[in-house]
Amino acid sequence: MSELLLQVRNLHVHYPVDGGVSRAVDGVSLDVRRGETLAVVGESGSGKSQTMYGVLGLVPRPPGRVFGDGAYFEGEDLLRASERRLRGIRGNRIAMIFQDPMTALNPFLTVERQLTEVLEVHKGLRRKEARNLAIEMLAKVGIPDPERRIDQYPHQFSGGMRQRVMIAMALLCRPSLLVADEPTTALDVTIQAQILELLRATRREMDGSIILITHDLGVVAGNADRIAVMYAGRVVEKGPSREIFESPLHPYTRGLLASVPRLDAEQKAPLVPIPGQPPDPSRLPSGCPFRPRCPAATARCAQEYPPTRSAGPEREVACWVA
Amino acid sequence: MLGRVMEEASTARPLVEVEDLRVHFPVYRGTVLKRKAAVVRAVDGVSFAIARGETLGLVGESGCGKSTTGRALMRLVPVTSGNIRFDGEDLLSLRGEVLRRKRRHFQMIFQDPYGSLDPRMTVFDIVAEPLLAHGMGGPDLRDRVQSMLERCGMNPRYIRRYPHEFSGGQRQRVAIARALILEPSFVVCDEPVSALDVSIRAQVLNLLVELQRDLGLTYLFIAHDLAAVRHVSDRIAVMYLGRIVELSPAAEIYRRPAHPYTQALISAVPIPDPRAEADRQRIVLEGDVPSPLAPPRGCRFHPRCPRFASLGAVQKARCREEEPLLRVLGDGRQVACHHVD
Repeated sequence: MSELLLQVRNLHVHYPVDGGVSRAVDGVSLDVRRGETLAVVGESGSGKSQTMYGVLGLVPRPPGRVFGDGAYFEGEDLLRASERRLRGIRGNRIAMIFQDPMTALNPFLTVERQLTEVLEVHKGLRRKEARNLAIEMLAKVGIPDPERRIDQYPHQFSGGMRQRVMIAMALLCRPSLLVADEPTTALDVTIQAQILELLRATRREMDGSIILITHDLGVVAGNADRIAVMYAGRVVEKGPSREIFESPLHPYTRGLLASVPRLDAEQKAPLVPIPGQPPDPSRLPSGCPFRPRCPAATARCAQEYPPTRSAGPEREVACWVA
Repeated sequence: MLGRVMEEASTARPLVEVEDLRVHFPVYRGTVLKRKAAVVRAVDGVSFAIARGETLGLVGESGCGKSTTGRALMRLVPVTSGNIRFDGEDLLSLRGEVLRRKRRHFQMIFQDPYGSLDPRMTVFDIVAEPLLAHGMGGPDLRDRVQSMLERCGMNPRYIRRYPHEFSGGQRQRVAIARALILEPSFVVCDEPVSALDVSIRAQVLNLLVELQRDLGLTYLFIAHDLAAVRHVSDRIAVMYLGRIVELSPAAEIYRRPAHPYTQALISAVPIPDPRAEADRQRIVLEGDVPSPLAPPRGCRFHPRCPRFASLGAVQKARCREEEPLLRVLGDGRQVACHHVD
């Protein structure tokens, strides 16, 4: 259980901007264990997607710059792997699904063509074999009448069904890591429930790990074993899901939990908003980037970024005050 | 203040009364010889009333007709049939200049603070424009714009800046100031926080609640986020395929949802608490929402209804044939289902 599938160490993803650098990811370290779901939580611009793009070699370079102490996947450092090697890993050992399946699926190709291509490229299967496997996978992710639907184009599927096609495509090569980037954000809530159910079943079956990237704390609560909370390009808090929700340590995590309306809360119990807004990653404030919005900030917080320290057996936090 | 408003609400006539509202959009085929190919029944027989000072929440999934309902109330889309009374007056009979003058009493806040503000206008001009358009300028124009912006949490120092210089949350504050500068009594909020970052949403929700309390506003609050809607609403209407399937007090809708669709919707909303999540009974609906071009006969929900399978043959036939009407249960809840007592 404790075996590490992915170890990211001090990862940076920087982009040049007028007269400076935008620090989209600013020293992120993460571990993903075999068989777990790790949720990476943050708002837009917090660097949660950029972290995975950096690890998987998907940051456009130039202008982007990716560096760090390593991103070890099954023992191999992806930051130092060749583009050719990364292409062999992506879609094969590590698969991805995105918020909007329409941008990830080719609108000019049938679903069959797109699914079988994955198997032909990565597994060297012949078309007929690949087609049979693809139909089997479509049935498994809950697409009715897969023998007929496999010959259709993406636009002939509803949003929820397209996301199922994406998941089928991602699972075809039996990856050991599935990166799901806001997989249900574009979907209605009853369809979201269907897709989350499918992801839970998928993880049980594939015996691999999932990185769930999301801004939605509700989605995290029902689906993650551990959580990493990101703010302004850094991980500010890490720990087991239940502990983070029950005793959040970082003032940002506390603020986030207090500001989200809950369906099961006392009605009209006032929300406690976080004042201000997230910083521009090209103009980060000195010291801790959350300081200008933090109710607990001290003079020290303006001077130095708080180092990540252990806060219990499985917990880590980057805060001078917590 | 709130007490007085509530008291008035219980005795006086509702501010907004909607009766059997239908908004159908024709779909045309062909470019030269256009002919009507089909009709989208976006809103298909909706009735409700909103009391003065009340917030009615309107929830449902994409395509259910909630936004079209809001737009019809603002007279922004042509209404096919039905009645809308605003402050006792027949809103659908108003035309031209009379309608234009009436508009200052009902205003709308949109989802996208990026698309709803003119990028070439300064914050001052954006908020002052409605006053000028209604000939309500006057020598104190600047003061009124400033104090409304301040009331909406904007620093009046930024009055000469342009929308692109602000974040989404600040732009939404400008949009709210613009909507309220004419002192409307009724405001339709259409997904007012969905486009904002999580940490900003609570700021704007709190602001809307505060403004309602201080200015005695009446809201129709449209959103797909049931938790946010429940937070601000007194009552909630749930829409499915152009119809209201349930209309209940906000406190009841989570505790004991009556309609099978409401039950499924509630059970699908994730709660940010792992313990609460682990204990929940999930009802996962099968399939997708049918097209509003051809809604199912009888009860529109019956092809996906989790209760339908367990019904007897006679009851099933009724669901297939007869469209259920919204009826009042003993305790103030209204539900459109043949099989709820």
